[in-house]
Amino acid sequence: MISMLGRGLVLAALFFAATGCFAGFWAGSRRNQRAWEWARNSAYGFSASMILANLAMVYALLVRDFSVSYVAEVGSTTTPLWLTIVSLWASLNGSILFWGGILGVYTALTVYSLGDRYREYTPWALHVLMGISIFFAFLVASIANPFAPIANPPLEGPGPNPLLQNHWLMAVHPPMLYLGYVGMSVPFSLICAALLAGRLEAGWMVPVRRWMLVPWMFLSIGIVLGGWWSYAVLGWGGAWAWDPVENASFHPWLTGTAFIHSAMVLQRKGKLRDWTLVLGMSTFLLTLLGTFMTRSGVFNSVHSFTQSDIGPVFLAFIAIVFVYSIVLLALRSHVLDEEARLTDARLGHRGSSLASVLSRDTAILLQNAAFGAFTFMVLLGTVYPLLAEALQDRRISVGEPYFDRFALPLGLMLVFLMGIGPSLPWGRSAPETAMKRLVPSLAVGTLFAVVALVTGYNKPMTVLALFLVGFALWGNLFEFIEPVTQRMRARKEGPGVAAIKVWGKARRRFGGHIAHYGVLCAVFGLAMSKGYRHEQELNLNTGEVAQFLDYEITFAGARDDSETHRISSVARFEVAGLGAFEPKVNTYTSGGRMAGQPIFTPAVHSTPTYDLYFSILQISQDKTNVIVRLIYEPYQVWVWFAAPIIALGTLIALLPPRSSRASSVKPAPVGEGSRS
Amino acid sequence: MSMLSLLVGASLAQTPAEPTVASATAPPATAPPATAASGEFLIRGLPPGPPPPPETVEQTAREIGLQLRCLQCQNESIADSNSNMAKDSIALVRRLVAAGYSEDQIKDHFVESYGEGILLLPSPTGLNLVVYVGPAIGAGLALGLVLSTVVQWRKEEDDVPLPSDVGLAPKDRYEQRLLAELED
Repeated sequence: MISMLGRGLVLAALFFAATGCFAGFWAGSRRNQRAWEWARNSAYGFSASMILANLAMVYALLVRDFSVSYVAEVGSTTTPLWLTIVSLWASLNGSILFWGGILGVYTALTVYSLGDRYREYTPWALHVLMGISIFFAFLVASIANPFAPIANPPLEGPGPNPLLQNHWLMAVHPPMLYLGYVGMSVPFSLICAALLAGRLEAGWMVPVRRWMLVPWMFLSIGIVLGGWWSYAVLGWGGAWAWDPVENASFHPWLTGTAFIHSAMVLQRKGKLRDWTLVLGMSTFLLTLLGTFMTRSGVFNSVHSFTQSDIGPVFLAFIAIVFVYSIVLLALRSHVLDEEARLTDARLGHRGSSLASVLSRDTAILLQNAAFGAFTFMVLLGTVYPLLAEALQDRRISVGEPYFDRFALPLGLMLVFLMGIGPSLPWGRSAPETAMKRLVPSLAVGTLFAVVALVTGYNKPMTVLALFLVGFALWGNLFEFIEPVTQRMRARKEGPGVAAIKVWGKARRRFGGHIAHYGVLCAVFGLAMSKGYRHEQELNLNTGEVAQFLDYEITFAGARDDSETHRISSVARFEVAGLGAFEPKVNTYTSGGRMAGQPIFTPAVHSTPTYDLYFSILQISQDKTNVIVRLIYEPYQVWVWFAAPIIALGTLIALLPPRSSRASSVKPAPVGEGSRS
Repeated sequence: MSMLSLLVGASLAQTPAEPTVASATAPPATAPPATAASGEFLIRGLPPGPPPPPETVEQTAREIGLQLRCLQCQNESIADSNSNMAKDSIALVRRLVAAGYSEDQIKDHFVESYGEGILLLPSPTGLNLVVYVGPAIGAGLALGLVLSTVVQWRKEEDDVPLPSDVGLAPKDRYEQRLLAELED
């Protein structure tokens, strides 16, 4: 029953995607009003069908309808409620369906938010977006069909993968990543629309940039949460191992970040246009590549537990999108030249001619180059083992020591540029002005470095990292506060009023600064926790006391805890002054072929200044002996802080500018307007 | 990443052969290094150097372990992994370090036993040079593009001060522009 309903909805989605793609093309090339309405309604139809298909699957999971193939694959009568819902992305077929659902949500929001403005572009955007949708609807309808009916449904299913069952973060991290990945279809479509329409006005860059920011934010959150999950479950006390699938999510983040910055130069100056378009299109391509890496099992990686024959089909789609992007850029980007209307009329008198070396423009240019090189390096290191195997039949590993070696200088350079960019004005600045801006930043950076040295954090790389964090922090903070004090002086306003006026007026800029603080938090946390990590393995018998750094640790004994879906071996440690730590090794009763594998829950004591981490390596059969890994990591939690701060900054940048809302309510007073 | 390694390990027909060292007969880390007199070295045919101070063994072993891949896992080092195989491997590294073998000797030994895929930092030889030269070329290209773009920008620039800037001191000019930018 649900099988038929779900299948029907997916086929409807496929139909709507196809008609939307066709109607979008028609409306774009013929400027046909009816075709436009047709395209728009098809897009809404696709969204509704895909979202309903997802709801049908969730319902099937909830009522444990094992006659639906996907439920029989991952469902189980013993799984708790939250886990049953989360099972939607527990395995390949469900996660492709989920992908389609998110694509539906994005499609509807895009169509709705663009409305009837930008009529030159929107039909083309829908044409491309629906083209992408055809592929995913086709996947769900054919090789990844989760709704296949099962003639003799089993009475019980295997339950979802134990990894999914083990931590609540698995309910949050995958959807965030999906929202990031899938959402990149939207800026890709909007960029293609500009190329297809043969024009690119500054006005169109507004939705392009905003629609890049939305998935970029989710991708950022998803990546940090993935690191947190790794830390909380894998037992090695680290967040990032340069695993191919971690890298897969990092590639689009790198190019997306570069895009967000170069798009500012494009909007403001009409420069870096083709490069910005390439970045935007690559970001989407890299999300597809990332999905392929995750889902095809090509890397035999930890995340590739959902392997199937979907790989070749996905690879073919990537090839099509790649060729399509190149052809589109080659054939159409010169058309944009003729219609170059990018320079905003209001900025015209300033925007045309002011590029100079000491400028934010140059800083962003360098930043883009660094991000480009970074992406290339990670991509190369990630795919090289495949290359070596294909060409010379050698099994090569490229791991953490390799990536760390290259990522460290590139990362530090990016932090440096993050401090320079906001401090320099657009256009040009006299060297003495530039120095005047940078000297305080240098001073704060030096202060950070000195504090690090005095407090005993004296490894050169840590000191350098802290110097750069201080440098960049001040550069951004100053730019955050300076306009307020300027306004207070110029207008004789109080600090509160001035702050609200200034920050409210330039949300994009200040949102960006806040996102920078988030990144700096992560850099600080990584520099400290990686540089001053202490680790020790202890082999203890019940009652034995041992010393780890300044901590006195007693192994109080071990026991087995039984729950409905798992059995946990729990070791209890007492730490003088901190209380008890109870790391676990869990064995799940359900989960198909993964059932019975030990999965860890380390015990972590987190404080703003340090984490103390207990992870069981081995418990003897009679529970009297334990081998435990103890890790001390200073300032580890600062890495997690990055996610909410970046999200906050992005949301502030995404708020619609107040001026447009204000002007729709009442015209700005003449006196206000003459000031600029 | 031990449970992961187990998951992956189950599907990988990659269970490596026993290392040439018979761990059962190997002396504990605290024992004096094997000598020719006792018949066999820890690494066959290779005498160890002078043993290091015992308190440095753990740290050195971890540093070496971080460069060796746990073969049951994906891109996880034997120092970080919780898998059984990684635990055995890191224990072996500890014994070898304690016996006085150098980092290179130990890494060579692992490469001999398991193949070059054991190294997380591929040796910069042959085709592997791709991953070392590639990023350098990439960075060089990027830098070249930056330079040419800046030169291009400077050519386009015609150094005329903003109308609003005329008659202002440089500092005020900057502040003026800052305020104006905020209006965008």
